[in-house]
Amino acid sequence: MSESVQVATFHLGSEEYGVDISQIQEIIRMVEITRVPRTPDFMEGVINLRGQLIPIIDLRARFGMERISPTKSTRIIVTDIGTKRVGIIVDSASEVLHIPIEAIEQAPEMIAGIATDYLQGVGKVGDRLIILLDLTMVISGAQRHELEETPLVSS
Amino acid sequence: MPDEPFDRAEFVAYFRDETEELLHRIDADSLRLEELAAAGTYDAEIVNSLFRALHTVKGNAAMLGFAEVAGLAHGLESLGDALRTKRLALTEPHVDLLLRGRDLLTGLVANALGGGDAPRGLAEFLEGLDDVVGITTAERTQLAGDPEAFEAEVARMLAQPSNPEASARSTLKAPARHPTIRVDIDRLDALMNLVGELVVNRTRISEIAASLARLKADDALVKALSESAALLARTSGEIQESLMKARMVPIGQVFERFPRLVRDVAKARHKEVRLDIGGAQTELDKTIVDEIGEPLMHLLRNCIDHGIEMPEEREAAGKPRAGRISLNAYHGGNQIIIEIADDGRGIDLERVRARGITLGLISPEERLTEQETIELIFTPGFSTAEAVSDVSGRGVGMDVVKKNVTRLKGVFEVDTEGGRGTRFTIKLPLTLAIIGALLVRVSKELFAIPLDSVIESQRVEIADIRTVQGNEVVTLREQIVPLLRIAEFFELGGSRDPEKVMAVIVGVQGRQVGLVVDAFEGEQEIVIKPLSDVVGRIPGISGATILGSGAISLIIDVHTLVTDAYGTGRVARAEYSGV
Repeated sequence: MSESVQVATFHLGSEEYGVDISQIQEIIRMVEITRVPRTPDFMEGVINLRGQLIPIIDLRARFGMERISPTKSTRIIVTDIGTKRVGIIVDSASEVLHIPIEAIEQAPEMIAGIATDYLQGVGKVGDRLIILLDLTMVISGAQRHELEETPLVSS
Repeated sequence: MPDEPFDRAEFVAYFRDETEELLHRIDADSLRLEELAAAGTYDAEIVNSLFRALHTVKGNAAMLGFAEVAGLAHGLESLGDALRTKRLALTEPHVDLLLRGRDLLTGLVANALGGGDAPRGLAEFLEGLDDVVGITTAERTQLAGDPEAFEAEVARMLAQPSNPEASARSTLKAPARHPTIRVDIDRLDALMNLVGELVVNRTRISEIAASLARLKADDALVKALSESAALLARTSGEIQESLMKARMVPIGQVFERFPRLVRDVAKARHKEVRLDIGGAQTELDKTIVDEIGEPLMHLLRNCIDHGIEMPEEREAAGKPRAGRISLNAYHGGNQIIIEIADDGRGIDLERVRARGITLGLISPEERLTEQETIELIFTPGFSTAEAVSDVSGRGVGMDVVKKNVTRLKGVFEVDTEGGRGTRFTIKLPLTLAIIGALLVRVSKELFAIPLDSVIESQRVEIADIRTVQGNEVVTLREQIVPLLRIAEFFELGGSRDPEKVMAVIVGVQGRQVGLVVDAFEGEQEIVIKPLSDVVGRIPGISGATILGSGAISLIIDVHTLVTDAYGTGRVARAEYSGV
């Protein structure tokens, strides 16, 4: 049997995305988020996950998509990236899939308005196209962005 | 015995720790000998202590095959032996040789352990040492490869961990060791985190028990739950306290390297300086101990460079030739206070002022209080020293010292008297992990304000608020206090109450600011958690905490807010414009 990657898939707008299962800690329902002032727009705030503070990123805002109000299917995917634990808000979480390596193609320049920096490729499963995200870039890019955007002093 | 396998890595770690302690001992002993040599007296106890320390370093190094370290230690040991047997007289040049050798030894040890380049000038030093003591290089090399000596040392080393007291007696005759173990600070941190969660949950359980008791006061199960919750609260509180104590270490760990530093800097400056250390046993959180060394070192250098006068100048002023610096630590309430005081010339306020004008920090017309003038020296790039000293170096100024102290949630004060000296006072919290806080509500958010900076909280009528240069101020006890609206500072939205505001008056180093909030929500002990670095550093926020209810509250960095309120042009020194 050929090699495959195991990904958890979720929806954001009309697209389906996948994240390597090894980067996922757990998937939880939407909870109350404490806002943190003076952070970029996509930084939703922090949540209390069993006594641990987890920063939450709104993936829609991160990718410059239109924001929507949380629905019943909104989920927070808690990810472990390196030593950092970060939650990302998605429209809905769907399933865990095995995608054979040969079914993964290199991402085109831009896909769904997202730069290739954040993409690992596009997986084909039947007639579904699953955009494979590189969360490391999504998060570290967020940090860089934050440094540029947040003014160091007020007024 | 030599056939027994031994864990080399473990011995290397042991060697690293023990040698570090021994090098400090060698330092301390050598400095004491220097004083004795100057006074023309002699103390067999100290010479012996020094000799034993060098001997142990030699043995340990030889056992691990660190030939160069063992060789140098052997040479120094011979010097120690010559002093012990009075074959050589205790003189300053001999002590100097000891101290230089000790520095080389430090370099060699670091190099042997894989850190840093081999120190230069070893061969020349050994040659010089040979001339004085009269041993040969051949003798030294032989020791490193001597199987018998090696075996003896292995036996000694293996005996040591299982019987530390006996070995301490035979090798060090050091002050009785406490029965202690070394624990990785990360493990304690992890434990501390878990206890933090435990405490949060115990509060939650207590709240649930209280709610149930209101509904079903007579129910036996509810009563049992309440009792259990109370017990849990007590036990977890005790665990927390014990753990905090486990993180406490004596500040002496930092102080012990200072006598040598002061000696070297003073010598390079051709000054005479005596350092008196007090309160080395004062305990505080390990994290703070690790961070405070650097600022203290700079302050000491500063005292010698700028404070203490040249011996002739001191004599002319009717002072003893040798300047005195005292370094003291003691507990004061929930704080630890560290003082560095010198009996030097004091800070020349006129020169500081002149420099401030040159740098464009103040205008020539501006009138400053003494304290405000002193504040100027904390400006980056500020230095009144005529020559850049090679010891203090350039770049690290008082601004960095102050910043480091502030980062540890400490307060930094300076008192100075012309001709009489300067005193630096650093007040630090005992621990960084748990603080008392006042909870306030702003818009929909909860914020925690550290209690140590809260002066009072009160209701202020809108009619009493005046505007000075576009900024709101109130007069409290004849002092003008600027107001800072938290909701606006953090861009939280919400509407203004047309009649009154609730203000928490906070003070940092004599400056007061009224933080305008929507409601006071009581006091609570909180466990500080850092915000993830994914969120980044947010000006005005120093961390977050999880409350008993499970809600999150951000912790306000009062220092930043006060600085902001008094910042460039915001209040423009309302006190002095005559309002």
